[in-house]
Amino acid sequence: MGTDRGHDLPPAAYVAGMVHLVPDHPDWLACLLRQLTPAELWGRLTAGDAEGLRALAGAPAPVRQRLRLLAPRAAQVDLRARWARHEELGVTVTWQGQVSYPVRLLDDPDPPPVLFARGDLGLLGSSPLLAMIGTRRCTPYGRDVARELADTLTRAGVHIVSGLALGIDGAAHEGVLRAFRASKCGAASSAVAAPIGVVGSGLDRVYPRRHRSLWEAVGDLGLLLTEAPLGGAPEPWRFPERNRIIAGLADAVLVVESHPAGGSMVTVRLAMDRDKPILAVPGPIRSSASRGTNRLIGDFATLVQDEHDVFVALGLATSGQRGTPVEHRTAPLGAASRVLDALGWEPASAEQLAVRTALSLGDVACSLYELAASGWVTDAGGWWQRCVAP
Amino acid sequence: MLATIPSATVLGADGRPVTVEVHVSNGLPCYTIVGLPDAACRESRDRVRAAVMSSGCPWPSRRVTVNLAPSGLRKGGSGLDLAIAIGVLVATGELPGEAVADHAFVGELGLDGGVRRVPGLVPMVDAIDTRFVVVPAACAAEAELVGRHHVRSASTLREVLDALIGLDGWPDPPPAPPPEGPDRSVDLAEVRGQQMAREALELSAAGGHHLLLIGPPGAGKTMLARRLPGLLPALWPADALEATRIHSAAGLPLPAGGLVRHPPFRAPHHSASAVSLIGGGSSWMRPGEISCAHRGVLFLDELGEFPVSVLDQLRQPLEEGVIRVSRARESIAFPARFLLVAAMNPCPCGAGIAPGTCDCTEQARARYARRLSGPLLDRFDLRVPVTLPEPSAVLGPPDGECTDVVAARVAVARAIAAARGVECNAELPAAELDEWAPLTPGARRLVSVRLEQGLLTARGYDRVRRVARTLVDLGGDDGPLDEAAVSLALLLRADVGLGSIPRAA
Repeated sequence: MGTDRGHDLPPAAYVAGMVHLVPDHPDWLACLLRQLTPAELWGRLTAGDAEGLRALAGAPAPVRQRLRLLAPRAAQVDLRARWARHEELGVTVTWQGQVSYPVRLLDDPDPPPVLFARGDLGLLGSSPLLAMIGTRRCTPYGRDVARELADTLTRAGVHIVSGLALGIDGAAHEGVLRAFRASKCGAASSAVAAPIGVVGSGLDRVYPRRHRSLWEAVGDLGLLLTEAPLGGAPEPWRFPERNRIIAGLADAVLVVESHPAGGSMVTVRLAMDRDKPILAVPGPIRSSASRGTNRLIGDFATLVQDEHDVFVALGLATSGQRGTPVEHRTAPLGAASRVLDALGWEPASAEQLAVRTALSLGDVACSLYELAASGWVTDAGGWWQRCVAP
Repeated sequence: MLATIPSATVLGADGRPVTVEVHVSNGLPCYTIVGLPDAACRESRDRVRAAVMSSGCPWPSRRVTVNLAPSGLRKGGSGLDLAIAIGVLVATGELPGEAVADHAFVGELGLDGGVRRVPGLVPMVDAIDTRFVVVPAACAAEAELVGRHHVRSASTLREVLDALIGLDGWPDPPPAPPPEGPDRSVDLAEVRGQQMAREALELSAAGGHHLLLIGPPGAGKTMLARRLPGLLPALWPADALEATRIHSAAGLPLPAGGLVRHPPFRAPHHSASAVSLIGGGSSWMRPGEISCAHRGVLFLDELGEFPVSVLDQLRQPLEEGVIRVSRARESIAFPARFLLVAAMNPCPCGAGIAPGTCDCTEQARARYARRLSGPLLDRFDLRVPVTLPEPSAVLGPPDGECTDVVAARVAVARAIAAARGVECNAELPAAELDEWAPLTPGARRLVSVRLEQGLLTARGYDRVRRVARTLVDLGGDDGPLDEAAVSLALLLRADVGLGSIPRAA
């Protein structure tokens, strides 16, 4: 008998307990949830009715062994305490068959049986929804582009979903948050979209740790989703699983920067399996971080240079209505202008710029700091990079 | 009968005067030595006895007591042998007391009566106050360096005795080899490309600013560092003597001519223990590598491989110019004012100097960056990325300036700094920077923008001014600091490679 089969616990509590017992979401769990209410299922599990459950699930014989082993463990789970923790953190649970389950995932070839959410699940009903993904080892160019595009698209009402990973994902979320917060401060614009993130660990296990404040912000202002139960560690096998959810939720997938092989390519393949269009941002041919995206563009992906290309791909605009971007920064003069031209769009060191412009190192340094003060360039670790926007 | 002979011993990097008292009295033949001698001193009994007998003098078969005063000071090494032998001979009456008046004796004795050299002769002679000092012939040139004594030298105990009695004159010391010039084996012109690193090297030499070279393996960091001593001017006489004393105390071989004239270059391996680097030791307090690099260059190659605990111990000497080593028994301050040059890779794989080229994981990069603590990194005023040179530069003819040309400019800059009362600009006190390093209005604007944005701290501002001052001095100018100089100083202080891990939110 399980501790506390009190009927005052909501069904979600039983589902949460079940996922805690079998975090790898076997198929028979989904099947059983369709046929029994969670409270009934829990009761039969703790009673040790392995045979009966196996028959209901139509699962093969070895599953019976597993079910039998689960019974004593189930008896030790304190459902009430676990559910209290969920409520404390503001985590809700949804599973296939529930009204709150995302409509977008109903037709998915491999839908997640149970999802844990923090925030407004209703956001998933908005349209359009664009996934922005990319490599963890990105360049300042990729980060800038991701942030700017996410900012602009969010202001235009496109919802962005990403994985809260280091690199491009983080930059995309930053851009969304910047636009979201700016809209809250200025004239209220209901068209501005909220951030959405899908992660691979439990909602109480922030990973990566550096993104703690990003987690909090996305969870408070938008929606955080995961398949992992509370306390689930960010194990490597969870991340491809998380990528399939992103691919399933999105209307289109935009890859900002990617090396030839990586997690972003996995997501691209999963999106292609689901017939979602793939978009990609090109990059310098010598940059290893753009090698994957450039190849995607060559093969089948749509090229994205600004938000207008995204609108066309999402069906929000027709091509040919391009506007000219407005430049707010003051144009540089003299030596500074030569240095800016010589900089190009790839990161360069001061020494390389001195060679290219034939100026002395002192003059180059002077120009670089002048350009930095007016927002044309930024420096990271001694390498100077032209900024997309101030 | 009692004899009192002045001598000296070495403690740390300084000599301490020792008075050897020998008392010979009736009693069963024995020989005792008191006054905290160490093992080498205690063994002197057999050496002195054999040497005296080999020189044709009788050894007293009475009770001999030797006291090394002051009794509370530990005496180390075998430099007291000669003084003990002379003391025994005076106490037994073999040698008249007036003959050794105002003479001090330093030297080790061999069983054949030969007088042998001892390490640390220069600080020992420096601590002696008598007019005459008798030293081994091989060390005569070193003893002359101190300059305050009449140096007498001999190669055997018999020669010493004959000269003291007046039977023979003092033998002439062997001719001193001519002093050698600066090391000409390496030249700056051999470095291909690397414009920024060369400028930084020149700045470092001219202003005494610590230099950190970061780059992938094979870029030329070690090559550049080894060409730095050639750019530095010769030591001033007082500094040369100080450096010679330290090298002598550390037991290092002195250059030909005895005096350390050129800034020393020390490059300890990263497996060196903390004690060998900083100084100390349990029985004999020995100057470490940082003291041997006093007034010279300390080069730490592969900075990332040094243990963190060892690097942290460098912070105090970098700030104060002296290292205080304390043991239970005593505490000694070694001078340690050196120019620190270090080379390291930007990340464990070595390739990540440019963004996006590195194969290391985030944790590996972060772990590697943590090895250099913030305060230590802050001591480096010049942080320069050294990238692999272009193939055209490597294959082409050398096109850079040679050591002599750059050294001339460095000498001019150092002379300008000397007029301000410091040896180099890195030593300019913060209070005087406003007077010596004023900014032009354009430079002031640039600096205030950085300060407002929080990209520059007040301490960083002082350091940037010193480097900019050196930049302007190198141009032969004594005026205020302009924008170009201040911008370049800021650029050279930028965090390179390490610490540029991307941050989100």
